[in-house]
Amino acid sequence: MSALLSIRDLEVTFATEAGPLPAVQGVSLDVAPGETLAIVGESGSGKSVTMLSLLGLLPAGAARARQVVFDGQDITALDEARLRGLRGREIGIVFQDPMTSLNPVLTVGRQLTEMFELHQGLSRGAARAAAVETLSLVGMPSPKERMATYPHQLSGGMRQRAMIAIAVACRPKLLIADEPTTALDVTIQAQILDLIARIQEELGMGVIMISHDLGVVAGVADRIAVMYAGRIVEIGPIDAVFDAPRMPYTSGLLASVPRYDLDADMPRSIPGTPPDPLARPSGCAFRPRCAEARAACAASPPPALRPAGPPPHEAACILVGEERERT
Amino acid sequence: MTAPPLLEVADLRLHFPLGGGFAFGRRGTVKAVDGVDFRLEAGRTLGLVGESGCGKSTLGRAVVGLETPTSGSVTLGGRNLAARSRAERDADRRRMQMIFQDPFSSLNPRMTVGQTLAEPIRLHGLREGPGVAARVRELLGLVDLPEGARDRYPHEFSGGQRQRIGIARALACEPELVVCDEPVSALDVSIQAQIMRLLKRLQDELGVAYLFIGHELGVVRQVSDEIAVMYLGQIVERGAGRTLFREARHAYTRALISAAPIPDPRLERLRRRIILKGDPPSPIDPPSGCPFAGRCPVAIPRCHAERPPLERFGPDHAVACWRAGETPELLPILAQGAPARDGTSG
Repeated sequence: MSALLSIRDLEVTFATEAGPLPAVQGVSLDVAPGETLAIVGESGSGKSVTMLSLLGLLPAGAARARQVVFDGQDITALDEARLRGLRGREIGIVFQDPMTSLNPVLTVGRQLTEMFELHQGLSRGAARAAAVETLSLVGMPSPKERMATYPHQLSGGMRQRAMIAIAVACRPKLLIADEPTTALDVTIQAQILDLIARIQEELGMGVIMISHDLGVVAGVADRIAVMYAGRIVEIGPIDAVFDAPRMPYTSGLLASVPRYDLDADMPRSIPGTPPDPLARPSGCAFRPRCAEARAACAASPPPALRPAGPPPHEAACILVGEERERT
Repeated sequence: MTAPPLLEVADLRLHFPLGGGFAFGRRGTVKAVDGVDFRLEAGRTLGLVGESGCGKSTLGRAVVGLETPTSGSVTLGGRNLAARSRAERDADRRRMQMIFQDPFSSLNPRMTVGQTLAEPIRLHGLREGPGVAARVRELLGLVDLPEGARDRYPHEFSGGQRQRIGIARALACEPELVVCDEPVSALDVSIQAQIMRLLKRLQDELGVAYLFIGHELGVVRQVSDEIAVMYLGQIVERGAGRTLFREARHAYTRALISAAPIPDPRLERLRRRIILKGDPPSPIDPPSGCPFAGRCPVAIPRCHAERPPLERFGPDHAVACWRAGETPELLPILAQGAPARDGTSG
């Protein structure tokens, strides 16, 4: 199947007072229609910036890519007006905190009808009917009454439903969900993940789920990309990466999640902290924290992704390919 | 006769009357904590788990004296704290310390780490003269911070290191009990494990007891000897840390477990989520029956009418649910036919 989204060699660099800050380096990935790709990583790994750049939501000149093809169209060359049309209509976005992305002075209904008027040219009445229908699609109780509600009058879970309603209103081909449940309680998180999966099936959307929570990712993703210090360090089918992680950072991350369902000991920790993006070490950025690092890991450029198991499993580690097993 | 436990909380209630000028009258009562009992032995950890608004943080703050209970008692080492003189209370405060989710907002930004650590040592007269500086060095070593950290300010540290400073400050008072309010929730997972291991090591070395408040089941399970599950101001289930999540009998605990994701994709596909309807109800004038009855998928009329008592259900296990005997069958967590794995079967 041809990819719905295909990114090649994405670089994002921010100009800071202390010099250029490379937030994302050489990121390439594909998303197929109907598929869920999870991008995981810790704070500062570049996972959110990757997606913001795709949407043209970064300062001008910050992002550069060899190619970004969405639905058969190269979008690197699109101007702001065309990009804006793409956002919302073809690509829906859900952020972690709906309170900061919903407009506090407009009712939920107005923010939804706006989508239909703006992107689909519907009349006021038709937009209203479509909005009510969308609210019931996202499981909002008494959707007609909710149209007149302001965001602050909703609970966290209901606000996230409103955000999702706006994101999927125009039946996008791709939904980008950036930590959509991180601010929610776990029983509400289950409701929202359930909702996203249901809508995905109904609309056949591709979904990019950005998350720091490996548990959430395990339950929803078909494939996973692990980011560290601005690069994808491992990518592959979800089962393959969880069963046999090949990059020491991935295995360290998996081992550091505390399990409530196993008689395991305390989670293992990864020593140290992620490097300062302004002063990343040469070669593999994980090297200073890696128990298996050797002299060759310091060689530049950092290791590229290479086959790490049955395709399409790849990892960026010089040890991949050597005959050895990691646990 | 056994010695009294380090901490005993009996029928503790914290009710907050809502607003209401004279023209409007009272608008109800927030029952943040509504009749909680537990004991904690020296050197042990009790985990308090629950979702936002369940009252777990308010309970923690009441234990260390940051909130005044409406009724009930907090007893430390056999002495009721409410009945103590002012001077005695100051001494008790030293024995109970607290660490917070966000250490940055609880550290004075204008004080160096060394000053922050020295202050409680001097205040409580724990060391004098050069002994203070020596103790500061010792504390930094305890939490694995370099000696040079002493002359630096909180903003110069990463989140994980700041939490180490917060822990060192709590330990400066040589407490017997530390209330840990979501101490690792704001940290990245690789750092989270560092702090959890540190807390465990400090407990082994110093014999300090923890009341560990959290919302992540994995974190609470790993640090706790015993776990209490809170819902709407009440403890609805309590059990041994190693087994509670495997043998849960309260409908809410089972729903919570079923909703908490497991980082194992194959296991996740075998699980059955109990999707609860709606949001947790407000603690303003909560229902008179079981606090969970309104959202419970298997509630019966009795649940709405009568509050179930927290009753023993086997050794080291207590449940407040009228249907505790049937919940594993009523609310399975694994899909039918799935092999039972450690801890996920009911």
